[in-house]
Amino acid sequence: MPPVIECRDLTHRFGSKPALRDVSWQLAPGHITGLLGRNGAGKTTTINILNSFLTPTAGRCLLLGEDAQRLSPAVKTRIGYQIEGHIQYGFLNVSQIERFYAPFYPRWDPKIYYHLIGKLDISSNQRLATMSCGQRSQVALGLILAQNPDLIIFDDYSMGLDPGYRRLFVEVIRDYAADGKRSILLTSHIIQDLENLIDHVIIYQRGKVLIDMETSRLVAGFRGFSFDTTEAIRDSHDEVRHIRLDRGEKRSTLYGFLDAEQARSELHKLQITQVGNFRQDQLSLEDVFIALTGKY
Amino acid sequence: MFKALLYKEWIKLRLYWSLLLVTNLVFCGFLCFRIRHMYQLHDAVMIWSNWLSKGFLFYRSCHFVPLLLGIVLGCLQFFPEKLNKRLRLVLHLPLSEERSVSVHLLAGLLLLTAMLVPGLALIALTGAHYFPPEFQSNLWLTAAPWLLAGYAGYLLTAFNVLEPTWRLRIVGLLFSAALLKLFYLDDFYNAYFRVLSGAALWTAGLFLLPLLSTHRFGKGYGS
Amino acid sequence: MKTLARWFLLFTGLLLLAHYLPQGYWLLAAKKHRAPIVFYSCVEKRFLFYRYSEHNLQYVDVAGKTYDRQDFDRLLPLDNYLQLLRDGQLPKAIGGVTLTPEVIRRGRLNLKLRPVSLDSPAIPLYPLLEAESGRVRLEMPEDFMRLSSRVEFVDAQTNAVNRDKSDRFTQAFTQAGFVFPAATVGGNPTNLKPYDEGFFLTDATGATFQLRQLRGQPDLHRIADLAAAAAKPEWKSLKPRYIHVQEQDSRELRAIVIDQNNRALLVVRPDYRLIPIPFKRYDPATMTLTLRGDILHRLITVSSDDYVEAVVLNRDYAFVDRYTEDLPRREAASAGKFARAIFPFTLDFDDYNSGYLGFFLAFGSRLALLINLLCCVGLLLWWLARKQIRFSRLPDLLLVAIGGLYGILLVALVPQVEAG
Repeated sequence: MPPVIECRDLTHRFGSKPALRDVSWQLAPGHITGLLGRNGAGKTTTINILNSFLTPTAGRCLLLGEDAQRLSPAVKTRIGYQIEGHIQYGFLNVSQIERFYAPFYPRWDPKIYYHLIGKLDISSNQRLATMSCGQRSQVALGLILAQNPDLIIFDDYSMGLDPGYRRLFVEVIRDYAADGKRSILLTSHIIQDLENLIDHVIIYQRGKVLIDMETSRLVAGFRGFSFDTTEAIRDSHDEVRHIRLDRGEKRSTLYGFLDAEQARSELHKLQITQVGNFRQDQLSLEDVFIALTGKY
Repeated sequence: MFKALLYKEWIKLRLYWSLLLVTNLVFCGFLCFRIRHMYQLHDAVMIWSNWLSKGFLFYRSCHFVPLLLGIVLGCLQFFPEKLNKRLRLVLHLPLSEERSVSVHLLAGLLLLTAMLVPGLALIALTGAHYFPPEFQSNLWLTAAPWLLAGYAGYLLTAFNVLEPTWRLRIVGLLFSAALLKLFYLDDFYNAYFRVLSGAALWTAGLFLLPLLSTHRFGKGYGS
Repeated sequence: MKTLARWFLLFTGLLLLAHYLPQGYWLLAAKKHRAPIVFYSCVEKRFLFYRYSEHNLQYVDVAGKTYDRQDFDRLLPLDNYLQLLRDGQLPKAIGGVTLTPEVIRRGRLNLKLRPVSLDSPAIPLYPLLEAESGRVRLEMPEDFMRLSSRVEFVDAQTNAVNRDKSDRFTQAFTQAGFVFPAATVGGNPTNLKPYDEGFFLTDATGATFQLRQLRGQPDLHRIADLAAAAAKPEWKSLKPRYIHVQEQDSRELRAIVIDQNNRALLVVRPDYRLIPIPFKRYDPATMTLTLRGDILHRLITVSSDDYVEAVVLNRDYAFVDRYTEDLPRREAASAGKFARAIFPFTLDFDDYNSGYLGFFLAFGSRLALLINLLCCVGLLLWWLARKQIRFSRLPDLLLVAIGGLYGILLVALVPQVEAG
């Protein structure tokens, strides 16, 4: 099956500053993919290019087979967008905004929208501007889901949301995508939420793709081994092999796509022979992310 | 789909539009009272003679009103779209960017017309009572460039508000001021008679400019 | 569509620059430039002038000899009689006419016909004064006359048509053989004048009539019927384009007629004598006609930006003398040459010879073409240096080729539209 999103040799510069460098990746249909990266890694630039708000310096993006810069209205009916901050028309109320969007989408299903709205404590003539950020995010989400899109792009869905709304969001998306017919791309800084949601992860680092694999494979294959800190231990990072040594006050950790034996072998290469209380740590997706991209 | 866009613009603007409509009615009402006041204070023959020979335009004081209404409407309609880059919502809709923005502009132009017409009707009725058709047609032909300035002001405001970069916005503002001044070149009645159709065509052409700034906004300039 | 929008923006910008930049230039560069005023000395039978230079006014004759003010005044006694009287210099008689202030004043004539009068918006309503009310001063009428396919009088106070009066006048028009609609209407719509000539009208066939209101009744005559035998054929063949009426104390001149061939003719009392003014060059659309008359002569001057001609006629309207002079144009001065070089074209909307706005395009000199070419070369080099030469930029080059400096400014300020 053709990919729902495809980026080919995507490059972008702001003036002379490079933001993206030859970025290429694909999204197969039916997956929930997380696009992760530190601030300034190039996620927002990529999302803006996908949303056609930016023309890349070089390379192109395809959405459902069409160039993202020149999407036909027919393809646009199959794509749902959530803009960072859950931006919507504040002057419309709950029922007015549904009336506004419905005629644009042939597969519009108001039941989905009102089902989601029903979970919130709001009346149908309440204007969006008077709602909290969390309530607004649910309205925005309801509007997207009611479109019945084949592909949804969420640009930082978690911004401004409290844990309750974030959890609600994750649950709604998971239920929605359960039939395997929807494709979703999302970005967020709250990685612990995504752990049980995304089945594919792309991690950016300084404008390039660092990691592009299934979440399960990443979490299973990338391991952390901690041991007592000694004098000889220094922070180190091998970018190519994704191996990082973090020196802690009492305990230090070696991260990488390694098993225990390979880990000891790496420590040996780094002239660290004394390895006290060596054990494998349980890593969350967030731990993996920080280990791959660093704290600074 | 177009109905939906018009619906959205109406909800957004209906309160402001009502206020502006009332403002215009007040101005036009003031003008009508002024005509009546003139007739009470002065000789009718003197009023007509002054108009004929000196181009005495008692209604000249209102000549900036259509322009101000156009500019204010343009600001009220498009500043909310610029806020938080809400215009992106429209650009995401399954509709060509040009069509979406065109419908927004049509909505604004319709609202501007609907705002102006009642006041103008009031003046027309008062004028028909006091003046013969020759003066009435003269009044409308003289006021025509000021009405066109209202539409031009609206379209130029949309152009400048939607433009994302400061550099081109400054150029746009200078351009707009220079162009709008041309609607107010001559004080004497009906001086624009020969250039009215050209002015009307040019004003219609200004419809293209907000499409350009929307395109630039959509391509991420200034972000 | 976006490319079209950018082109519209550029083209409009080009026209705006072509209008405002030259205006700004002349705001800074314009110098005082007034045409000389022509006089005719009845004492020495020659022309004299006020000539304006940048800083002063000179009193000169044709040969260029300057006079001081007192000598100049003495040569023009009929123009400066009050000053001469005060100085005790007024001669007792000239040309057999005893000079007193009253005689001089009553013999004076002053008319001015500006080109703007021939081409200005007008509202087709005419106040037909009562010419013989019995009162010393004329009064404005209560109604205004309208000439369409009939005559109508609209009362100003009630805004209603006076049916009775309208029918009476329409009947008079029909009886006089007036064919509606009226082609030209000439009159002086004010009561601040010594008497009332009424209105001169030409009908659809081109025949000229005079209309007055006498004690409420229409007084309408075909002028060809009223004129003396010698003038009748002239009136029958006359095709007036514009009729200027300006009643004077002397009551001698009824009107000035401009005909379709741009001839200026005086209509003289009492029997509508037609006197063509023998100008060598007169274009009513661009030249101001000034008539100054006194007890001895009629001095009629036409002047424009680049030409002045004065014709002197005696009291019988026979030709006496003529003066012509070509004047230096603003464009010929160094400031004008510079302007024509840097501005490939200029756009004006105002022409002071017309009351209507229009589109007035004027082109620069050949040097401007060269400057345009240099601008094109400069732009190409600039693009070359930045590796920005593209076929899609050809229209910008065209803009600079046409607009020169205007084009360069626009290309610098208005960015390209990204393809697709």
